[in-house]
Amino acid sequence: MVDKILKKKNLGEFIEYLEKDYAIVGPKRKADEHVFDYIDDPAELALDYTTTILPPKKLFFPPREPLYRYEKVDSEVILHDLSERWDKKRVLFGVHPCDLNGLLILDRVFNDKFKDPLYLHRRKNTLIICLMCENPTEHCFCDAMGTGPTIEDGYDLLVTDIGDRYYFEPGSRAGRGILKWDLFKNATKKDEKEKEAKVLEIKNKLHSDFKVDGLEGNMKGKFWSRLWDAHTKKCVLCGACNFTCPTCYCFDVVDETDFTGEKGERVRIWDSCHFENFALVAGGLNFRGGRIPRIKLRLYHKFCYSIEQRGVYDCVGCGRCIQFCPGRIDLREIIKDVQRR
Amino acid sequence: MKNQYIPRLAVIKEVKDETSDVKTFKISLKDGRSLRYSPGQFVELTVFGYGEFPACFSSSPLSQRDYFEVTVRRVGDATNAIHGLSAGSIIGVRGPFGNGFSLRMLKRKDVLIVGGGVGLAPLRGLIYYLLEKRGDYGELKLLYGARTPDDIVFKDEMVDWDMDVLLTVDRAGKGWIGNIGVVTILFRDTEIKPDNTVAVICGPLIMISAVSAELLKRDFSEDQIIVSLERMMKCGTGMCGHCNIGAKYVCKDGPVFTYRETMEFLEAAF
Ligand SMILES: Cc1cc2nc3c(=O)[nH]c(=O)nc-3n(C[C@H](O)[C@H](O)[C@H](O)COP(=O)(O)OP(=O)(O)OC[C@H]3O[C@@H](n4cnc5c(N)ncnc54)[C@H](O)[C@@H]3O)c2cc1C
Ligand code: FES
Repeated sequence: MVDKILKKKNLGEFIEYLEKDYAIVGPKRKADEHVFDYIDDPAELALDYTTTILPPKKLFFPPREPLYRYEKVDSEVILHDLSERWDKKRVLFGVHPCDLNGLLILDRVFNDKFKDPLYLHRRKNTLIICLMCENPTEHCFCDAMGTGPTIEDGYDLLVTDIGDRYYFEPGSRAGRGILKWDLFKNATKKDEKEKEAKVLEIKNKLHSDFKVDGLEGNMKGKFWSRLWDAHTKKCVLCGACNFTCPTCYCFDVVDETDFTGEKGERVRIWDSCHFENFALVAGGLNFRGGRIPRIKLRLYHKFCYSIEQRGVYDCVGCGRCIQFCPGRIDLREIIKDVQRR
Repeated sequence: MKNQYIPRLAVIKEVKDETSDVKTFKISLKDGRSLRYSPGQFVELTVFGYGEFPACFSSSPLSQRDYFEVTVRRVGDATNAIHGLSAGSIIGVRGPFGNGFSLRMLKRKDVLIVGGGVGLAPLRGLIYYLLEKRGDYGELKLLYGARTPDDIVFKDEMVDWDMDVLLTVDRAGKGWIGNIGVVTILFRDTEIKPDNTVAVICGPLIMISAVSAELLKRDFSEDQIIVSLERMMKCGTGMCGHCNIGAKYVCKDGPVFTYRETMEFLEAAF
């Protein structure tokens, strides 16, 4: 199938067309920032966004999610599955390549030897319309991570803004099906040239001054280096980098019981490896009682352990951990330091 | 796809006091099926309203088929709650999880088993398994240390174990005529040679590290020492991130590792 063109003025109609079969989620304005959220009116879709506060992982792996409910009746226990079952599929419209790459990493976590049914249900029932990112921020380094600005797979449709039109490329059968809609026109050679020019223009906006080749090995060699003390002084262990990270997946599981103790829910909630009790076991033994081991755990998980676990770095260069760090710790500076010494 | 976080319902069949803070629970699945597991693996047990915790099988999957046992020390919310339950109570079971002891590695070997405290629980499962297949294994020996004579678990059963059993306690009470001191002092009283031997250790971290140091000193190789490790666990399936040591998840890649494997972790294993 050839690539397709949609006039910008038809975007609203396209969204309405999709709404017949899908719920629409996309970037939406929230105060001075953007967030991914359900879209009720096509006008809410803010495709000119730079980045969102939370990455799209929250749509597949929510910050708090009930797993099941239990109820004690006489001397029996009754369990109710609380995992969501959707009757309507969903379209995630406008996710950038870095964030989509983040989802592809989470896929490897939740679809490994063990399968996570809650994540996989949402993933399977969400169509991905990926949008080429036009405005990398000062924090972005997808070019260094190889996770942007271009992307090869993982999307149903890939959209590039080329002035008064959108250039659509299909990446799956479902994507091709959508492109059969009347208002799509076949892309011409000229459209394709314009798209390529646009991609080049975007690439030229990214200028990371470091490479991650060999980073895993360099991390290994520097486990006991003093460089970690220097870089982690300003960390307040708040967990913001974990929660805003497209690939951080650690969670806690807790029982929320009502006052009678007769019924309650087991829920999972996002957790942070920076929190003091993350590796604390009964009896008061804490495997990472100190702050530096906890901060190092996150960095080693991203750039060293992940290679052994999944064969990829668990970082997509989205820059959120830099943007939201209250201590202004710049991950890029840490990587450069590891690579330099 | 099945929601793997939902436990299977099970019934406590029997509760046995081992010590003042350790009990052994005999448990059957409510649907009458039996769990297929191997020694060294663990289950996640739910006491509804109190939480979930990991515990190793302390029974052997060979002879004990229509139930399994866990031996639990009371230390916090969920473990205290299960101590309050009696026969007939309903609990939740997820698992089995983990790799378990490599029985193939032990075949035709002398097996030196070293345990500390409630760390004897998974080793008891292994011991019963080895005793039931006695012909497949060489000499079996258990070195076990507890805090006081009253803290020795499985005391009444040990006498029937067809193997050398050496005990020691950290602090003796009245009437104790046995060894006093940490478990490594037992190395003085018995011959421990690396030839054709595999050592299996489970207990407090400090004990694991002291015992493996002692074994290495006696020319055991890093592959002849097997340890079962403990970490904070929330999921058992390699997702929640809590149980990692370096790149390994103890729930999924362990809890049993060879000493050599633990040397490759970037973080200290014990
Ligand atoms: C693989 C494995 C096997 C184990 N086998 C046994 C056994 O056979 N017998 C036995 O007595 N104990 C065993 N333990 C330790 C036992 O799981 C903890 O003592 C228990 O989890 C404490 O839970 P709690 O709710 O009573 O304590 P709390 O301190 O109230 O703990 C609350 C939460 O922390 C978690 N947690 C606390 N301590 C630990 C810990 N040490 N390990 C993992 N999670 C923890 C619990 O899952 C629970 O969700 C094992 C631990 C692991 C990791
Ligand atoms: S217990 Fe969750 S990853 Fe091991």
